[in-house]
Order: sequence, then structure tokens, then C-alpha cells
Amino acid sequence: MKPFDTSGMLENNDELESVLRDYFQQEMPPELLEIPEVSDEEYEKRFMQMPRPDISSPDRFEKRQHRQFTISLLIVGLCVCLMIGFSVSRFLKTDHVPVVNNSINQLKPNQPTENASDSKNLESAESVAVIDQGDTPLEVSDQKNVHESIDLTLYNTEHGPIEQRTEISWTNITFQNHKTGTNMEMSMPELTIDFVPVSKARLSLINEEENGNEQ
Amino acid sequence: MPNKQAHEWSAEIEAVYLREGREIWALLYAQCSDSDRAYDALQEAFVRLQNQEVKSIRNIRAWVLTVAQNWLRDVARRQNHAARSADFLDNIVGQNSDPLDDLNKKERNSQIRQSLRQLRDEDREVLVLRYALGWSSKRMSVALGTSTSAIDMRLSRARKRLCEELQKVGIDHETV
Repeated sequence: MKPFDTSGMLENNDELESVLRDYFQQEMPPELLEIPEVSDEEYEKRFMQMPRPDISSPDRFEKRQHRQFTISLLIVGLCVCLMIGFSVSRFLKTDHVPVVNNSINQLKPNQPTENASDSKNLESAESVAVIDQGDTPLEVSDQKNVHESIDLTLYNTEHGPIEQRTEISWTNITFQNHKTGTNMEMSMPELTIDFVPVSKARLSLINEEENGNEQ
Repeated sequence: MPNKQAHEWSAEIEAVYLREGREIWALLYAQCSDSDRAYDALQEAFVRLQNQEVKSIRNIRAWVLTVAQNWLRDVARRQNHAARSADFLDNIVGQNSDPLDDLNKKERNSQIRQSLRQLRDEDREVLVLRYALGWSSKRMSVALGTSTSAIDMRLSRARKRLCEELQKVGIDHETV
């Protein structure tokens, strides 16, 4: 091989190594070339005595470790946030949403009642959301005022202060279909909004109290 | 007494330079792929070390390496990467030899330098330690804190990537 012939350089490792050694010999400053190299054993012995964790750039490894720590911290934080969010959403759902059993949504008051007077057939064997008012007897039991909520709001109007009373009552109804033997429960809300003048309400209260005293 | 202390400090710095200079230069070269710049960083770090207090530095080698690496980063930020004097220095090296040889050498060094710059720092590191310092795999494994087989694997991959880069710049098995 000629001194600067690169033919075969990439096919043979020895050729490549020879070229690289030659290259680095030229690259290295002459002053450093003159420094004698220690043996492997001596280097290893000296290396063990030195208080250093690693030869290669220490900051690179510190950065890598720091990056890994940051990423893991972010992942853990994300998981915790997701868990808290999930728990809170579940908690809110169970607290504020009234429980409606089974296929209550199939009973819509606004649905057309063209066949309401006749006996209705079940659309399928599992469908229990049809109220049969004809041949098939249904046992209906209800229990009112399961849950009640009252909201008071005061408005100032031209005719004086008016109090708005909002009342929600839930009625649980249980249907039993003798034919299918299935029970179905449903909760029906009843919303009542009253507007009462405050002065009138007071008067009526006073009147009631007076009547009570008389008695 | 202070003079004696300063004299001891200078002697220790010189010993560190003789003991670690080549290795630190090789690591700096692996970082910047520029012989002169790596050497400047090494000199700069040792000059700064001379002005340091004796007891303020526990590990001289680590301190020098860190200072030199920071200096390299500062220079890289300030200077334009395109401005480089290595080609000019390549011409100076071979002034007394055959002009054709100098031209070939210059061209080949330029191609190898360009290819080395395309490699990752880890690849350059093992190549420099092996071919610039002539370290064995065992010694490199001690220094890099890994096994000999891992070093051989890294070297093999680094050589392979270097070959790919060399092919890109025009060196292949058909080049005469």
C-alpha cells in the first residue's frame, strides 16, 4: 500500500487502523507526543487510587442522570394527577347525580302515545321499559319524597321583594311484570318553583301563628 | 514558606500535565474534533490551574478536564465553525516533503476529519483513545468503567460508522 493510498481501506480493519493511527499521530500536538505512556498495570493502579468516578466527561453523565430523574418525576406526577382526577370525578358523580336504575331513559314522557291505550308488546325479551296498561297486569308501588332539595332566591322587583322557592322531590317507582317476572325501578323527579312575595309570606306566617295561639 | 508551597504546587501541576496531558487532550479532541482547539483548551485549563489556590482543588485531573471542556464550549459558541485553520496547518506540516504527498495527505486528513465530526461523541471517544493514545481494550474498560467486550463492541460499531461516513466523503475501496 502506498503511503496515502486509500484503496482497500474500508475492506480491511488493519488498513483502516493504520490510517487512523497515522492520522491521529499528525493531529496530536508534538509536545504531547513526547510524553511517555505508562503501562496498563501502572495506569490501572493509579486509576484505582484516584478519587474519580469516571474518565469520560463527568457532566455528561450527571446531565443524563438528572434528565432521567426529571422524566421519572414527571411521569410519577402525571400518574398521581390522573389518579386524583379520576377519584374526584367518581366521587362527584356518586354524590350529585341521582341514581337511576335500569333503562329509565327509555321512558320518555314526550314520546308519541299513539298505542298507549292498547296492550303493548315487549320489543325484546330483555326489554322491560314498556308499561303495559292493557292485558298484562303490572304492579306499581311508589314511595314519594325520597330526596328533597330546596333552594331559596330573593329578588327585588317593582312590587317589592319576591322569594323564589325551588323544590325537587324524587319518587321511586317499582314495576313488576308478572309475565316476565322482572322488577324495574325508576326515579321520577318533580320540580316545583314558587314565587312568593316576602311580605305576604310573613303575613301568612303571622296569621298561622295567631291562629295557633288562639287554639 | 509560601514560596515553598507555590513551588510544590507548580511541581504537582507539572506532574499532572505529564501524567494526564495526553489523555485529557484525547478526550477534548473527541469532543471538538479539532486538534489545535483541544490543545488550546488543555493549555488554558492548566494556566488557570496555576492561579488557583492549592487546597481549593481536590481532584486536579477532573478540575482541568471540566475547565477545558467549558472553555471549548465557550469558544464554540463565540466562533464560527466555518473559520478553521487546520487546512493551513496541514500545509505547514509537510513543507519539506513531496508536494504531491502533501496534497494527498491534506486531502485524506480533511476527509477523515470531516467523517469523524459526523460521529457521535461516544464513538469518537473510543476511536481517539484507541488510535491516538494506543490504549488497549482492557485499559479503556478500566477508564470508561465498562467491560472489555463492551469496549470491543463500541469500537467495532464506531469503525463501521466511520467507514460509512468515509464512503460519503468519497473514500471507498475503489478509490486509488
